[in-house]
This record gives sequence, structure tokens and C-alpha cells, in this order.
Amino acid sequence: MANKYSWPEKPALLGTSVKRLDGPDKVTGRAKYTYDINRPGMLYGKMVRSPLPHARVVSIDLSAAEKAPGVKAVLAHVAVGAQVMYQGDPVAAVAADTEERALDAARMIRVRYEALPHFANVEQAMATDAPAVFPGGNTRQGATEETGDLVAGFAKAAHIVEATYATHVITHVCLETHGCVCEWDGDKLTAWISTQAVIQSAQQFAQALGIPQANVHTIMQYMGGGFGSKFGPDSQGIICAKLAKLAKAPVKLMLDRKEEHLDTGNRPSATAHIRAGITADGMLTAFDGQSWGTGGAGATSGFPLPYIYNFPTRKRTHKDVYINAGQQRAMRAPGHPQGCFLTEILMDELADTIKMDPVAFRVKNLPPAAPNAMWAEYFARGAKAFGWDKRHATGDPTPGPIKTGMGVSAHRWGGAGQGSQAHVDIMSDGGIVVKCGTQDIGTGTRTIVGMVAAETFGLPLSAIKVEIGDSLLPFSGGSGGSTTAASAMPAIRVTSVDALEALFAKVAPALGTAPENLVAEGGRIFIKGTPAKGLSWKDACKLIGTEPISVNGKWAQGLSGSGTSGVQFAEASVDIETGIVRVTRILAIQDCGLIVDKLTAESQAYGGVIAAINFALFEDRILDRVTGQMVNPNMEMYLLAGMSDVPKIDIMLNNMPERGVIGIGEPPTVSTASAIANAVRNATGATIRSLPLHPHKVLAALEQEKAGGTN
Amino acid sequence: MAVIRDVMPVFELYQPASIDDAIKLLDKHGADALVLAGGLDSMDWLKDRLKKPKAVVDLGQIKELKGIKETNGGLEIGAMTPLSEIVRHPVVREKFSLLMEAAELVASPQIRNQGTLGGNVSQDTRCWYYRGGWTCYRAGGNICYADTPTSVNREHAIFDADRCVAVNPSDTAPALVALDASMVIRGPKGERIVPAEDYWIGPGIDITRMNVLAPNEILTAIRIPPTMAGAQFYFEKVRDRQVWDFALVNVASAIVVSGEKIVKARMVVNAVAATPRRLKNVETLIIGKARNEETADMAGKLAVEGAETLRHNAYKVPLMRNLVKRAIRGAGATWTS
Ligand SMILES: Cc1cc2nc3c(=O)[nH]c(=O)nc-3n(C[C@H](O)[C@H](O)[C@H](O)COP(=O)(O)OP(=O)(O)OC[C@H]3O[C@@H](n4cnc5c(N)ncnc54)[C@H](O)[C@@H]3O)c2cc1C
Ligand code: SF4
Repeated sequence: MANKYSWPEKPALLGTSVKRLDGPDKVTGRAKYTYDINRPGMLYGKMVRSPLPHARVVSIDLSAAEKAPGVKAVLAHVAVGAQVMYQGDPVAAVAADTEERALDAARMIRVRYEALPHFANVEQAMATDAPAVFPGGNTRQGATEETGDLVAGFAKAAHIVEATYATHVITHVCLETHGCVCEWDGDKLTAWISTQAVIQSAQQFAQALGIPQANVHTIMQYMGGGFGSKFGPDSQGIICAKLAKLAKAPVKLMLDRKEEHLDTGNRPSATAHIRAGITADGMLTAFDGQSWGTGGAGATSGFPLPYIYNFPTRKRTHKDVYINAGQQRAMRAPGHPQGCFLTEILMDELADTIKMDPVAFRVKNLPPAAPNAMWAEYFARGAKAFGWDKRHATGDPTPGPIKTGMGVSAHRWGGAGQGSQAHVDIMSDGGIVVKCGTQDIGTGTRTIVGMVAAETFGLPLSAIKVEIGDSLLPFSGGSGGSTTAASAMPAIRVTSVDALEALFAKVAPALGTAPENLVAEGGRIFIKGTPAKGLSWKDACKLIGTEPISVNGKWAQGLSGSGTSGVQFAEASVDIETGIVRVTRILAIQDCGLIVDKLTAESQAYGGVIAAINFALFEDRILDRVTGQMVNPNMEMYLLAGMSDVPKIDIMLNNMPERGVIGIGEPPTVSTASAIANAVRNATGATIRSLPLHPHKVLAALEQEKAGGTN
Repeated sequence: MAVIRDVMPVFELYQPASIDDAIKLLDKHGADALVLAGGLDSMDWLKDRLKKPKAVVDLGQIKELKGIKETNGGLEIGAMTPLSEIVRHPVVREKFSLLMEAAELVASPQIRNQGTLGGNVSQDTRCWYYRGGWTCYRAGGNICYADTPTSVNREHAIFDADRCVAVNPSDTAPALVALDASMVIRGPKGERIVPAEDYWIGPGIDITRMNVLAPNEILTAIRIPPTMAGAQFYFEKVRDRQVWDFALVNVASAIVVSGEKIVKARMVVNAVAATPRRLKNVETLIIGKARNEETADMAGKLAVEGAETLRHNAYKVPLMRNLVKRAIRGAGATWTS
């Protein structure tokens, strides 16, 4: 039902490609990230962390550090006798007047540990003779999900595929590491913090420090990535605040890259042993999967399985396995890349049992079509745009060592909105300030907040002053689950419409009409249908008088939606003599409700695809099996794509304004890796059922399957 | 970059202007000194506080160590010449393009601008245990973390395993051996010339060093003789990602063909052992044969004879075999099947 808040039918700005408001500030360095915040008299904090994956703290001696030059505060984070559960578990911290001295002092903190048994991988933790490392058990068996008669399902199958599929642990690798600057004024705390949840961080600081939330002010104007790992102050934030309190001076505590890999979250691993059946004419009949995974020390590892496709009978069990490694955190579409990979590789293997085209096979087994389940349409559109008809059957017949193939995969996500509030001021000089306690985590939120207001007021984006990223602003949720746009945009729209109505009420008498006859367009307010009868925005605002228009509003139903679907196609070439996989093309089709800024929406899709190429080909958190320590806690040995590894990426966004705003920060990263792995399989004929597709694994698979021509 | 978790420890910085002064300083400080060239390897050790030299001797001010000179059909390249200068040099490109290709595949443009040839050939291994600060044999401890039945060692050696199984990571090193280069080394007792092939040493000789340099010696220049000028060259480096990454295995070969037959050949593989591995047996095998698939096949098989794999590096055997095959096929290989 259309109402006064509904999105405009013929928008001037929405859906167009608008450059980020803060682009120039970012590239010139004027934008201040948490890392750039420097306060008068500021100290530097440094944490001491457990070098062991599991140990009891026998003693902590802070005395040498306390006496070290420049040191202003030292604290123990854990009690003597406590257990540390992973390498990097925080133990103590210091603050000193320079970073160098903080580091020197941190080295002087003497912690004695009694090493305890640990698990560096799931096999160790799942072994029947494994020691009891985690209270309550080393694993946690989840409930069994079961639908239909599995035995009957398998009985209908003409072919059964049975295999084990797996994805690995990767870390978030935010370009800006986690951390904050904390400054106290009496019992009031101000914290500049690199966070995806500025208001919720204030709440968490208050709870952890035992002070009223009203006493905490958190600020995050610019952030170098979070991807699900930055929803609060974490241990480093609380420690930073405590150090600042002890030292009676502001403290900056930013983590280094190693700490980042060890203690700020990761995507859990996923493994599943799966049996699945298919009829001779390509209908799925049954799915039986036992899965397990690790989210580190005591954390969960769930993910959806089977993914998307319609298995009429299915059974699935899942087991969380605990190992002595940093705990997982939400990471870009939590669970979905894992469930997608485990299902989509299986799908290609099933299709091959009856020599059916993977696209046709998928379309045949989709759930019913719906606005949030547009896969059938996307498979068809994508196949055409990508040149799927040129795909050869499994195993590239081209002579020579370079084999090329195509793969496809589908995904889904939620992306719903709720609860955001906003405030709009219109001043008599025509100025507009839009306030919302949401945050721009690099996705372009600042720009789209301004766009929605500018659209409503019929003004250019430059006319709007946007204030976000501050806990003193009207409530908004954390930026997770792709909810930011869908939460904040409706709030901005509602509040802007109400503010405009208030302005119309002031302007209408001067134009000799009723407020409801007015429209704001092209920088003017005028009587609908007669643009000549009106005033410029500036002149209209002169009628406001001394008391500015000041309106609060909040998210309303009908302006946002939820549920997205997407399909991705990948083309990859494999050098079967070296095992090197190169992705040559990606096509990402994504629906997204109403597109606010086409440019930043596309940018999210590009970023998601590139992150997934990293997941597929490069990233791997590698723990030494004996010592439980990470061997690649840096950015040299923990691999991420370089420019030359990024292929041509085509994005097709399906604008669906009738569905309202839906977040798409996460979904584009879900199915890329599976599409790439399927392309590698199509190229070589070798099925690699686990990620990453490192050359050693590709070569091993080729040797094994004897698919290589020249070995 | 191993970890970069720290700031550099305090040291005395010396910036001598002549080779003689540099050697005097090194002689005085002995094992407490660190030679600094472009610093790309050295700075990591310092920032990670894994090396704490009392003195750092920066060779950056010594003019005689920089530049490329033509010498009787060959070249003499100062040890402090940046890799990017080598890549650009017209004679390198014309006669010794093998070195150009190798140097151009090192790391990234920034690193090639700053990194020197002397530093590139003298760099330490990238073994992640060692670089991560684990006190292994090479770091003076009494265990090799990479060589246990459960170690993660996909990048480690398949030849000449000793107490240490780390590999030499240099891209230019195998090219220099293939070009029959020699290393000019200066110490307190004067100059000595070492064939490139003998410049690197394995852990059996000294587990704490990768080359023959004594603490009071510096590498002053690399001489490339005309022996292989204008030969048919092949360089290939296989790395996980296509930029800013060390070789999993690389191959450098220089082949001279007369008629249809190979008359001269030098073939070298790196990142499979602690030293670049010259494949003399392959060279002998292919002399008198044509550059075809049959020769390539035989050469590939022979090249990896005697390889011994660790838990995770078995792939290096087919990888090295295939690279040797490709080196023999040459760059223009075409495919019919
Ligand atoms: C991120 C990264 C990626 C890299 N990727 C590659 C790659 O792909 N391929 C590759 O081959 N290399 C690679 N490197 C290594 C890099 O090329 C070398 O580290 C660099 O060339 C070393 O040169 P440098 O001048 O910086 O040497 P430095 O770091 O200054 O020195 C290296 C070592 O050699 C010694 N040394 C240097 N010059 C002399 C001399 N004249 N006499 C005596 N001793 C000397 C130093 O004491 C030190 O031990 C990479 C390095 C980094 C940091
Ligand atoms: S391979 Fe060598 S450098 Fe690596 S851990 Fe073993 S001894 Fe140390």
C-alpha cells in the first residue's frame, strides 16, 4: 500500500551511480580512522598474549614492567590459576608514553604457564582417546534435522554420490586492525573505536566497566573493514579503557596483524560426509549428511545444509568441534559460503552421473519461485550472458597443459531491516542536517543516508549534512547481517518526509495553498503541476523563522524487505602441469530490492566476489599440528589476491524497487568459491572436494585422477 | 615479512663510503654486525626482533657497489644494483634476458626498486617456522619444526634434506647459475671469486648461513661471462598468487642449439633445496638431442630422481618435473594432443 512515505516512483537520485560523499576525504587522508586519532597526552597500549594454545597461568609478574621507562599503567587481564584456551588469549597489558616503550614493557611482563593438552585440529579433538580439554566436552552434537522417508528417497535414486566435502578456516583480515582510543573525563568515557556497531559498543563498554551507558560516548567516523568481526570493544577495547583509567590519560590500543589473525575472529571450518541420490531424469531424491566443523575454542560452527536445492527427503546432523584456536565470529554471510560449497560441488557430481547440464539440473531442483527466490530466472539470464552454451563437458579436451572450464552456483540471504531512528533539522538558511546512529563500515552508508534525504527534499546530495557514527545520535543497529541499509534508509525516508511536511506547513500560506498541494523537486518547493508557483529551497526556508524544523522519526514497515537470491558463474583456467588456478571471469547476478546507490551496491558485489576468490584460492589459517601455533600470522604467508589475481568481474544487479531496500553486503560473497571450484572440475575432470584450491592440492588431485595429459 | 609485531631494537648504524671501510667495520664487529643492502630481508628480522645486531653496516653509500658494467662480452653487476635497474638494462635484455625475466618476477615493483641483486642472492630462507621466531636448528635451537611427521611443510625441500629442510627462495640465483656467473667477494684478506654454483651452502656445511660469505666479507659484484650470451633461455616461476609471492619452484635454463640438436645447456631449479640445484645429469642427457617432447619427458623424469618428500610437499616432485619439461620444450611450445 502506497503512502506518503513510499519510495518515489520516479526517483531523481535513487538507483543512480553516485560517488561516495567521503571519497575525496579518504584518498587525501583527511578522513580520520581510529588509527589516526591522536589525543593530547595520549599513551600507547600493548597486550601480552598467551604463546601457548592451552595452559594454566602459574604466575604473572608485572613488577619489571611497572618500573620500565615511560610506563604509566600495567594490568593483568586474567587471574593466576586461570586457563588460557588459545594462542593469543589475552593475559596482561601495559600503557606507556611511546609505542616502543609499551612494547619494551610488554616484553618485561613475566608470565609462567603450565602447558595443558591442546587440539590443533578437529581430528585431534574428535579422536576417541582425546584428553578432556574443554569443560563440558570437546564436541557438541547438535539435534538431527530430518524430513521425509530417507530410505524411500534413496530407493528412488538411480545414482548415489557419496563423498566428504570441506571448507577451511579463514580470518577476516580487516585492513584496519581492531582497536580504539579511550579517554576518561571523571567517570565518563569517550572511545574512538573501529567498530561495526557504534551504539552497541557504548552499551558493551558500560556493561563491562560497570558504568552507566549514558556515561559512554563512542565514535566511529571511518573504518577499514570489519566483515563481521567488529561488533564491540572486545577484550582489547575493555583493556584499553582500563589502562586509560589507571594511567589517567588517553590510551590508544590498536592490534597488530598477528593479534588480528589470532584473536579477532574467523570463519569456522565445515566438513560433511554426504550421500545423495538422483533419479535417471535428474530429480534429487535424498540427502544424508553428517557434518562437523570448528569455530575454535568453545565456539559454534553451524551452517545451512543442504543449501537451496530441494531434496525431498533429507537428514542432517552437525557437530561442533572445539579446538584451541581463537573463536570464530560472524564473517560475511555466516555459514552460507560453507553450506553453499558443500552442496554445490556435490550438485555438479550428481549432474555428471546422468550427464546432465549443471544449469538445467539445478533449475529442475529449485524450490518454488518467489521474489526472494529468483534463481530460475537468474540461471537463464546468466547462462546467456556468460556464454554457458560454450561450456564443454567435464574435462577440457583442448591440447596442452592449460585447461579451461566453467562453473555455476547459487546463493541466498536475508538482509532485513528494523528499528533505526533518525533526526532531521532544517534551518532557516536552508541547511539540512540528517542524523542517525548507524555507521559507515566502508560500504557507503554515509552516502546513501544523504541520498535518501536529498531525494526526499528534491535537492542535490551536496545540500545534505550527514551525521552518523556516533553513539549520541538516534538509535540504529549494528552493521551485521546486511541490515544497515534496510534499517537506516526507511528511518531517513520517514523522518525526511515528516520534516518536509513541517516545512510545507510553513511555506503553504505564503504560496496561498494547502501544504498537501506542495512538492519539493529540483531545488524548489512549488504547487504540484505548476512549477512557476513556488519558491527556491533557500527562500522557502527563510519562512521557517527562528526555531528550526526538528523532527524525529523511525524505521517503518513497507520501505524495506528481506530475502535475496543470487547466481554466480565462474570461468577458470588450470595449468595441469603446475596446479595453478587462475580465475578468468566472474558473473554475479544479485537481486537487492530498491537500489539506493548503484555504485556502492556494485562495489559491495565486487568486494564480495574478490573476498570469495581469496577464500577459494588463497587464504588459509594454518596451525602447526604439534604446537597449535599459527605458522602464517602475517600477510606474506597468509595469502590474499593481488591485483593480477583479480579477474574480469561483471555484476548484474536486479533492481526491485517494489520490494523496498534490502541489504546485499553479504550475499555476493557466498557462491563465488563454489562456482570457481566447479569451473576447476569442469576444466580438469578432477574433483577437489575441499578448499582452498592451492596448487599442491590441485596437482595431487590431478595425479590421483589421472586427468592430467602430460604427467 | 614474517610477523612485524614489533619495532626495531637499538643498534649502531654505520654508513661507510668505501668497500674497505665497510670491511673494516665488519671485521671489527664480527658476528655482531648485520650487512644492510636494500633492507627488504634485513628489516624484517630487525622488526621481529629475531636478530639483534649491535651494528648495522649499510652499504647504500658505497658508489663502487652500484651499476652495471660491460666486460668483454659479459657484464659485471655491482651487488647494490637494484633489481629494477637490471630489468631495464639493454645488455641484460639483449644477451642475458634470463636474468631479466628472473628479476622481473621478484615480488612487486616497489621491492624490485629497493631490493638489490646482492641482497636477492644472499637472502635468507622463508621457512615459516624460522621466520616466525621458532628457535629451530637454523635459529640456534635443537629441533627442526618443519621436519616432523605432522609439520606443515608444503614449501620445504625435496632434495638434500639435512637437519634443516628449508629452501633457497631466490629467483635470480638459479638464473645466475644458469648463466655461469661468478661472485666477487671481498674480505680483510682481499678478493676471492666464487662460481655462482658454489656460492650457496647447505645446512650440512653451516646451518646458520645460506652462502659462503664470512661475517667479515661482502659480495661486491656478480660477473656474467659471455658463455651463455644469447642462448635460448627459459625462466618460469610457479607461485600461489601472481604477484608479491615467492616461488614454490622455479626453473632457469640456458640452451644453445645447433641444427636441431642441443649443443650446450645449463639448467637450474630453485626452492627445492637449501641451494639452487643445478641439474648436471639433465644437461648431460640432453646434449645432442632435439628440443622435443621426448627429450623433455626423459629430462623431467631424470631431474626428480632421488627426490625425497616430506608430508606436504610431494607436489613439488611433479611440479619440478613439469617445469624441467617446459624448460626443454621452450617458450614457443605448441600442442597437438
Ligand atoms: C614481501 C616480499 C616478497 C618478496 N618476494 C620475492 C620473490 O618473489 N623472489 C625473490 O627472489 N625474492 C623475493 N623477496 C626477497 C627480496 O627480493 C629480497 O629480500 C631482496 O632482493 C633482498 O635484497 P635487499 O637489497 O633488500 O637485501 P637485504 O635485505 O638488505 O639483505 C639480504 C641479506 O643479504 C645480505 N647482503 C645483502 N647484500 C649483501 C652484500 N653485498 N654483501 C654481503 N651480504 C649482503 C644481508 O646481510 C642480508 O642478510 C621478497 C621480499 C619481500 C619483503
Ligand atoms: S626447515 Fe630449517 S629453518 Fe625451517 S624449522 Fe627446520 S631447521 Fe628451522
